[in-house]
Amino acid sequence: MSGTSSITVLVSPDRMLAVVTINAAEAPAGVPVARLAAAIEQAGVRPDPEFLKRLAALETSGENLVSATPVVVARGTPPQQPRAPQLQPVAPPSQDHLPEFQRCKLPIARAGQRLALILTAQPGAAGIDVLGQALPFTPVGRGYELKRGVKVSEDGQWVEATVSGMYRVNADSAEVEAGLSIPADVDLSTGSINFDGDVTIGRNVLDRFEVLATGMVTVQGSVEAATVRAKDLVVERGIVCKDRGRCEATGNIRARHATNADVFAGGDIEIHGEAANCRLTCRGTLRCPSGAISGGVASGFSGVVAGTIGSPAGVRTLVEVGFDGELLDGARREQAEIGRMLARASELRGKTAPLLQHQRNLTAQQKELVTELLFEAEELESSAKQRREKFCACAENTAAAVEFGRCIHAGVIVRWSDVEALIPADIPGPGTLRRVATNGELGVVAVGRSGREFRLKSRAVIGPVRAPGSPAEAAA
Amino acid sequence: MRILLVDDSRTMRNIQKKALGVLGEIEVLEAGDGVEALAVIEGSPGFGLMLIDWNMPNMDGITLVKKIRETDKQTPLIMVTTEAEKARVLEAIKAGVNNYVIKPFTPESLMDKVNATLSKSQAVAA
Repeated sequence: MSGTSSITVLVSPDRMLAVVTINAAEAPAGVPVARLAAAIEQAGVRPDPEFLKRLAALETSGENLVSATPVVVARGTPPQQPRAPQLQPVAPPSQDHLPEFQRCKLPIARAGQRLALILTAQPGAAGIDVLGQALPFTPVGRGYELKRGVKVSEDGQWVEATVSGMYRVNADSAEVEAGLSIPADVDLSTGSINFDGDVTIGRNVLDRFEVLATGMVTVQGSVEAATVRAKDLVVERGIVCKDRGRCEATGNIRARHATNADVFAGGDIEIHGEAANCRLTCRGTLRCPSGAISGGVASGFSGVVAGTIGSPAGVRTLVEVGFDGELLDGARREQAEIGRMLARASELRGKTAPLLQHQRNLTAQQKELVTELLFEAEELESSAKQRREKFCACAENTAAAVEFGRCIHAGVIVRWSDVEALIPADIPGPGTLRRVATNGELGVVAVGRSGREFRLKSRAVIGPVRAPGSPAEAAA
Repeated sequence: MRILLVDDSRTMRNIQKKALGVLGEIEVLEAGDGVEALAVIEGSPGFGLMLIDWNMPNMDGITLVKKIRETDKQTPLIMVTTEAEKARVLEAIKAGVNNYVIKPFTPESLMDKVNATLSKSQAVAA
């Protein structure tokens, strides 16, 4: 504060504002411009151009400055703080369209996914206070940090994931940890998982959640009534689907035990303990060598190996071997469709043949129509050929066998694509069941512990071979 | 290879497109008449083959062939048409088509003509 008794010049503590006050009691007619200018100069304040203009106007008119309130003399300019380059995280895609249980709560990125927008650096500028002194800006660091699993996109505007995994992105850094490891359950806190790579789950996959992965899924606990799809699947405890969930793998599936589970593998299925009341289907070998398969449907294209099959109580157990029922039934339906297609093609060719013999008599429209019919016939024949090849591709594996280590119990049905047998009485193991064709007659032979081969009463399988839908249905 | 199909019948263009699918990696563009075809050629030149119908609205196939041949002597052109009279075939060949497919045709007969035309044109270019 400085000035005379009638003029006071006040500067704010941060020196960003200077005002002048006029003591009306001492100078009721105001103060002359010259005195005012002198007081401001004495205070060291550099007046704003607007204030100087006002003074100049008063000086020209010969008036004094009169004001009952403080008059702003100068305002400082704060420094413009610089900004280092920063990251602005990209909002994850909306999952509003998905049911609650299918939504993923984890920050999971796929390789190539954009994670953040790069905000460019902003330079700083010094400010100036009311006394004319420079106000420097505060220097900033070098900006964001790119950690593992990320890179700047080719256009330099984005940060992208280079691997699939869990990501962490904020204004200062970005990182993707390759792979996905969930230490606890897959539950409401994680949501369902859809991941491009391997997934490890520390505990269980709970009811109604989904785990979909392009790589191997390892569940260190159990899979409950959930859906798991993977390349390979390892369940260190059990698959307990409660007749609702499903586990699928294009490769192999391994589990300690399975109960009321629907399991499909493109390769082998291996159950260490008991498989009870399950639908187990694989295009490789179904192995349960030290355990038991009791109840439900067990299907192995390359064979079925189990310690015990069925149960002393005679629980209904169906063992399918050497064919994929779903494919085979589909193929048989396909065969009928192929027949219809070829018949239609033949009909079209029959219609066009006489027309082709008398082309000269045809109008332009008729000629175009004949071209269309010929093409349709060609398409049908080509499509029928493709379907037939597909049918041949799912040929049955009639050499596949059922091996049992301890016992196959009475009541178990063992079925190949064209023949089946009901086990009439317990057969102690180790033993084997095979399909045989003697003089064109199909049958099933068993070799038990004694090593003696005997033929079981068997019957031909006609029509759809696919077992009923759910394990419960199959057992009924 | 880029192929232009010119025919006022969408069905016929589809048939030709499917039959040409055996050639492997091809890009097929279509036009419904001669005027449209000229616009396509102007906007996107460099076709390896053109299949042209004779009878079309706005500009017929024979006029289109003549227009194309004013500036382009190289691109193989095949006339695909119901016009089967010898005089018509000769007229088309005179106008500059490399081959002639008479409707009705089967996919094989069309592809035989296409392959023959392409082989001949490649041999000439070599």
